[in-house]
Amino acid sequence: MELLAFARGPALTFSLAIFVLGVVWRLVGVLALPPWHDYSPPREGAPPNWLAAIRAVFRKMIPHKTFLKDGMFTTINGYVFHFGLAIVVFLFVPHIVLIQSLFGVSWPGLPNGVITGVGGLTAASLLGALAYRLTSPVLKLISRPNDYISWLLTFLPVATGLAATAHVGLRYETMLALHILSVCAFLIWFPFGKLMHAFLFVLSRGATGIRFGHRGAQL
Amino acid sequence: MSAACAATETNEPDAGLVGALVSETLARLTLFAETGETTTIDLGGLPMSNRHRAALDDFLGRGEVSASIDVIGRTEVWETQFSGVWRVRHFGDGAIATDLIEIAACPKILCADRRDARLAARGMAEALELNPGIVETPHET
Amino acid sequence: MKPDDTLAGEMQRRGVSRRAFLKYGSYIASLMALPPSAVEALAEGLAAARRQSVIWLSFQECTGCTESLTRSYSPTLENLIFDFISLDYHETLMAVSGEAAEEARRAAMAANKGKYIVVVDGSVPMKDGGVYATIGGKTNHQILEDTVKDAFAVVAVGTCAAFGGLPKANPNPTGAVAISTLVAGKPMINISGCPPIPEAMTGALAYILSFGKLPELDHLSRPKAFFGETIHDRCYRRPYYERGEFANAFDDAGARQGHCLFKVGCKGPVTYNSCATTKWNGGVSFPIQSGHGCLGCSEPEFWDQGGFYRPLSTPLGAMGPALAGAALAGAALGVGAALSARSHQKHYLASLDKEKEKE
Repeated sequence: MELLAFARGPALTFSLAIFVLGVVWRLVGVLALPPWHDYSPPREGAPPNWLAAIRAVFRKMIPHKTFLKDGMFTTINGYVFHFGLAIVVFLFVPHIVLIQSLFGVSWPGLPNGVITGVGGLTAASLLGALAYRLTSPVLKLISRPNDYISWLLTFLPVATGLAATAHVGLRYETMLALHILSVCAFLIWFPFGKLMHAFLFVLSRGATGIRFGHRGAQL
Repeated sequence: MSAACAATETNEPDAGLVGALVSETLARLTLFAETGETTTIDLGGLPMSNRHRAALDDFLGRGEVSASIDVIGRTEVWETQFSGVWRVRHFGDGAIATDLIEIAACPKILCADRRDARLAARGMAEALELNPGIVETPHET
Repeated sequence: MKPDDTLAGEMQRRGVSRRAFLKYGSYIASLMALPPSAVEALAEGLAAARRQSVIWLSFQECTGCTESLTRSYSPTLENLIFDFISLDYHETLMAVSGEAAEEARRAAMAANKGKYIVVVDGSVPMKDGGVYATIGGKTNHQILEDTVKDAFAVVAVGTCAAFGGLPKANPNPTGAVAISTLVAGKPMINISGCPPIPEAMTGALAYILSFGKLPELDHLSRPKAFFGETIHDRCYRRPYYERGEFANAFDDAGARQGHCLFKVGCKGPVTYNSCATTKWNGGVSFPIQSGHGCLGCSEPEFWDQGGFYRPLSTPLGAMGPALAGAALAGAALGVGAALSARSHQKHYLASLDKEKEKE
């Protein structure tokens, strides 16, 4: 129980503080930059900036048809583990209880059987993503430690969570502590590695959408 | 049932426990009939409610033999309607302490131990010595 | 003829047959989930054993453990263990007091050298030379060392003895420690719980009496038979947990329908004990059945887990100040970074203008 107390106590407090500090730092840092001005006149019929930004955020959710066929696996697999993670993180009751203790908001959860099934699928999907990264000649070339660390720190909470639920490996309280500690590592890494895309994708897609829209280009 | 008891009555879902127990008993009874191997199924440690226990005993029913033993508290033994399947229930401080299904010709707790018998024989001999007249034919009047 | 001094002999003199041992063997085997084949071995072992000398030491404790063990009103199966042991020293239960009591302890130790069992409830204060608990002018530590020296085994009953318990809880003013930290090289069992389940205490003692060795123990030296599974894994409310049906408060509809108590702080998932199966007060109920979550009382440091009503999946302490501070610091850093970028941009544009002017 000592390890669990450490995980629930100082480790979780420290990592959540780092997470909040890092995320706020980066978001404020980006949003408080001087506004970008394009002094050229917009192309005729160009959408207003806000619309171009929103359109880009949603349109980019499906790859352009030129890349759709080749990128089919990464697209579908990406959706599987992103939705899987969202379901497991936000709809497992003990997780909701944690969120409620932090922010005071809660919502109904799903039965554990569903969460376990989705968790298993998510783990498999993440392994698929890694296998693809390791075997695709192009992706392999452009992958950096940042990518692998981000993958590992996403995979570990899923794996340890499943192992704790299934009573696999160490005793439950130890697996639970390792699960929490793996989440702590994830939280600390999140703002400074590629995991930050969870927030930044909106800004980067929006900015791209505004630039393209200004010139009348369709995304 | 009093209100206080009602508050602690568990309302758990039936997980097919009784059916599984009966299947297990049948398998052991078949084995006993074929090979003479005796076994005991301990109901302690199973998540059994009073409802489960009643359902099990309803199914097993009552047979020809029933006995009550008075040793460090009460023990109830009865043969179920299925010959060779016995129920042995030891009571502790007012509540069931051990609840068993015993598959045997006769539950062990009913049988006298020979070491007790040896002492009993000595005791009986002493009693006889003290009171020899007891075996004489009574006078007719 | 030498009188038969085995337990069977003693029982026979009282007119009790060997059925008593068979019955007790069934009871202990059932409690400890031993195979039915162990019943006869247990019964024979007990029948052939001699009365076991037990010295019970009470240190920093509340006597709840003794209450738990002796809470039985008639001579029945549950307290038959008292016929099998000779409780040679127990401050609460013995009639004598003062020097006569200490003499009884020394006499029992001398007569049963290497064979007696020391049962300890309560933790031992070590701070300031152990002055925070003394008996007859001796510190708890001195008494423990003196008594354990010639013991066959040590049984720490209750969470205070097993893990330090309440006296060791933050800020541990007396420097309380668990018995295991002071007893080296002796066979040792922890029967934790606040109080421990009486059947766990009697089961462990009966096992030692029957087989002359300790039962199988877990990594915290607790008998696996009683501490092998979590409360959560054997809880009758477990199906509700799996289905996601919870009580959100002690008086809501979920609580009244007997739903899972995880959200109101139940520590069942990380607590190893047999409350859910052996239950309390002769199998009447256990905390969860009575509507309250498990406190985790058989686990180390259970007092310092952030509160009994704080759910297991939440942080131990208050997070608000730390997170607010982090958010403020993050915002300051972000603003600083943006200002620095702006100033950098300004200088850059100014330098561009200067270059243009030069041209």
